[in-house]
Amino acid sequence: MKTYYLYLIALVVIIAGCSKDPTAPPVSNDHSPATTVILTLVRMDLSGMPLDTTSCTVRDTSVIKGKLPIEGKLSLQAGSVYKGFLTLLDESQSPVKDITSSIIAEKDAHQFRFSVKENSLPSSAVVISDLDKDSKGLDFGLNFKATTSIIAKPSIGLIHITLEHHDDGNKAGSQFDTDLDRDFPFILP
Amino acid sequence: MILLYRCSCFAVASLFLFAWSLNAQMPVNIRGTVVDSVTKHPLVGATLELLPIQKGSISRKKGVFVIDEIPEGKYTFIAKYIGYDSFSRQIELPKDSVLFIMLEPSSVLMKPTVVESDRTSELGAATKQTIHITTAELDEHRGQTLGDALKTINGVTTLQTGPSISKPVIHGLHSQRITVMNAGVAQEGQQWGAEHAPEIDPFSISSIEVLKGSAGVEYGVGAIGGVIRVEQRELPTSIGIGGEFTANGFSNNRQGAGSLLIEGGAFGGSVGWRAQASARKAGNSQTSDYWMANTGFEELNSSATIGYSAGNFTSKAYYSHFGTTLGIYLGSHFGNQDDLYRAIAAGKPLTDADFTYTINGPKQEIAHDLWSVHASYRMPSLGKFEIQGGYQLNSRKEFDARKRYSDSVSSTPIPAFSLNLESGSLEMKLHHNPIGSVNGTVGISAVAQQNVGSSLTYLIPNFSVQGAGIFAVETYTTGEMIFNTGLRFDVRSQRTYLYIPKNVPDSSVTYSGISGSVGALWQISKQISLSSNLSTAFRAPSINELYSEGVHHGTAQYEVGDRTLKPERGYSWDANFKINGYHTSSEIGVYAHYFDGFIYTKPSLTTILTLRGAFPVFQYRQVEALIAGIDANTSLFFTDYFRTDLAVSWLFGQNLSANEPLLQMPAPRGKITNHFHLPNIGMFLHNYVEIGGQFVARQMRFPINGDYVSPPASYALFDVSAGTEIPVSEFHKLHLNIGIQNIFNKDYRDYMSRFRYFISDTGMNVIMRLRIPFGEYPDE
Repeated sequence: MKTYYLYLIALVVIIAGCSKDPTAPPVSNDHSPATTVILTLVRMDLSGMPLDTTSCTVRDTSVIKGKLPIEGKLSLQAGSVYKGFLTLLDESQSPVKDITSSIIAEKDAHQFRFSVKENSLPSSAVVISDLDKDSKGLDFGLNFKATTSIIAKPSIGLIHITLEHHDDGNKAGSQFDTDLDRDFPFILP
Repeated sequence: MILLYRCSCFAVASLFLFAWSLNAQMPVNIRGTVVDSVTKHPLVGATLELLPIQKGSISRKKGVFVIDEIPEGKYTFIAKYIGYDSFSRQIELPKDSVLFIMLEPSSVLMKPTVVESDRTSELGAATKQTIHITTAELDEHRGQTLGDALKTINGVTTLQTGPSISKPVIHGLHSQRITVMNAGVAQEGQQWGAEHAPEIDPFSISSIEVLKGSAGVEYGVGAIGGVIRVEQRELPTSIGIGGEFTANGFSNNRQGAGSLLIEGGAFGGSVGWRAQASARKAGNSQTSDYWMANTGFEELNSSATIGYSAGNFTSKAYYSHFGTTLGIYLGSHFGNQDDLYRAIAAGKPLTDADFTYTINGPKQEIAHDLWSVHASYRMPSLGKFEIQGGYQLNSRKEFDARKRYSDSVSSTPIPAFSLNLESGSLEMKLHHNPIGSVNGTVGISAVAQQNVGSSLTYLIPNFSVQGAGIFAVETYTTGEMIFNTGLRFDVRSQRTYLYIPKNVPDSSVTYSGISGSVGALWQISKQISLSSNLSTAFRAPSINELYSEGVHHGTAQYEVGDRTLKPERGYSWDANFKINGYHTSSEIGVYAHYFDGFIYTKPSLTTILTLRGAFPVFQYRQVEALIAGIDANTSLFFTDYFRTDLAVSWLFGQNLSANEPLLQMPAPRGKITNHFHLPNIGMFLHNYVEIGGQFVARQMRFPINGDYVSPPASYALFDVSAGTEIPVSEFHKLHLNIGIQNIFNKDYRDYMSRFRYFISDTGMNVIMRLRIPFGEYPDE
């Protein structure tokens, strides 16, 4: 049994030898998924000049802690025409990184879809139209036109935006991943 | 690599040191011949074993065998050969060193696919039930994955993620709850993932042993639900060169697979070597109705072994590389819950697919390299000393459906995550000589591991593990009783590295615990035996259970780990009753596994708001759980030419804390196989036809509100196969086997298939298996 004890000691030495701390390796995270989407509406006059701007920000609260999931409300005016656009950010990085260009690079595989609701019912208080196109002339929707109803009626509602990711580029197809599915609240005084 | 270097250096050094410190003694060699008792023809390939020292041999040309270097004393000598009754007698050395063994042909023609409990198994205690899949059975059932072969065992099922990813499930337990031993070392991959299958080439193994229930004493932390041990074939022990070529074809996914093995012996047979390489390429699989998009896969594997033995010393070094690219069904990745609901509502793929060999994202790219060094030395005064070192490098890259490109100019898609796991292990054991009627094994083991990953989105933090264990297993044999007991102590320290975005601190936690077992076997008569075991084991919570925090896109769930989880403790009881009659052979096993601190994901009934909408939150929780069941099988031999095997298994899984069934437990199932042995026709020898049916009930026990869809309907599948052997030379026969699985092309979904929500399982599959041995070694 003497040899055996010798090896027991040897094993302890091995464990000690093997258990030197490996250098703490960093988790790389250079490649950003969006954490935040900003919807901006710019009110235009008849000649196409900007008058004022309103925006609403939504966040992924599973990634961004300590900030509001929805920040700001779209404050709209009746009977107006807006130029609308979306901005995608990665707020997990410091400084915050604008990654809108990465979705533009993949616009042939993506489409933003819009619907407007008041009290969970379809509404025509805001009409979204004139979605910008991808390289094949299909709707993309990062930039669009929003028109508010001429009848000034106080209302509170939601602009619901989804982003469909169609790998095959067939934007009418039903096989897609949803990359965005959120509500942006608005008020019409 | 530093880790490898340190461990292997020491292992090699200690081997030399050890060999040098030996003192020579003169043990006895046993020689003999095995023949058929009726025809007196020599039997080549009979298995010979000496108990209790577990040393054995195989009869070679002219039925001759040699078992070298046995210390003087009393032993039980056992000879086994397929189609013959086992032979057993007491011998005393040096008196009985020359043996002439006559084996009686069985009254029944055993099919060459013996699934039997083997008490002399390497796996565990003598009283425990282990199940052995022999080379012959593997040849008949070798499928596209390791899991396919394991499914033939009663009580073992698989957790499928499409046709290419198959994880073995023992009594409803899988992943980090079972240990897979490959070439003597515990396979270390990212086994916590339900879609991470064991990285083992089905062609590289020649036999499989399965131990159901906890085996913590012999296998340490983690072997809480069972052990699967895969073995490579023995190295040649005589001078020569030989090998075999194996080819498999599968119609369903137009898969071709082939393996070439070359082996030889040199220096009077003291050195044996082998080199093996295999390749596999499969395209999309199909259900009875449609193609499954992006389910192709490919593999390129190789292995090399060299062994040296002289006198009481044996040593072996093994290296294997496993490389695969696996396509994951395109419709199984979901952006949000609505996507999942759309896929479920459609009930079939949302877009039509065709056959292709092309693999796109989502996909997995895995490389697994394994080095294993083993040496043993028999000290006549003390027993057999063994040392086993292992080093493994597991690289896993998973790609999403969408291509992500790095910010630089490179156009290579980058993986959604990439994990590199490096593991080293060392184990030393002494199988001591019998002390009176007691024999057993004492040992110590150590492991070290580190995992480094990078990912686009958070998956798990980096971690490292160090562990050590000390154990002893002793067996007392008296008359018709065997008693067995074992005890083990393990300590395992896990360090997690800083990851700021998820508030993972740089921290260490140490787990320690005791595993133990007691068992007894009572050989009531020559035909009847009864055995029972009690055992306990534990496992440390795995890294995902502690630190998960994110959306699982296969299930559209937001999973949150619990950093305060305690080790999971399991207690197992089993009893086995065996009866071997003249026309029947039956075995009934009952078991109960109780878990204190069973870790599972529980719906928390809250949601988390991401950009993709709200996801239901599932949290890792610990509860008391019970898994109990029955595995029963019987073989009926009506005539010499016909045999029927029946097997049923039933399992009950209950979350005792919540008083509800456990999720995803295998449904009750039964199997019938009719084996017809046909006479030789000209050059076609050992012909057989086999017709089988498998019946799986609907799982009626599942947690309410714990799943998206209730379990699928019951189903029945039928298979046929036929095989023959054609002599191609004096020593060699070509082995040919053609089988049709799911012969009626039945549309079905198994409860244990992770894609059952949205697509069916695979349809009819015609499989052809061909094996051609060549060279100087006769077929075994």
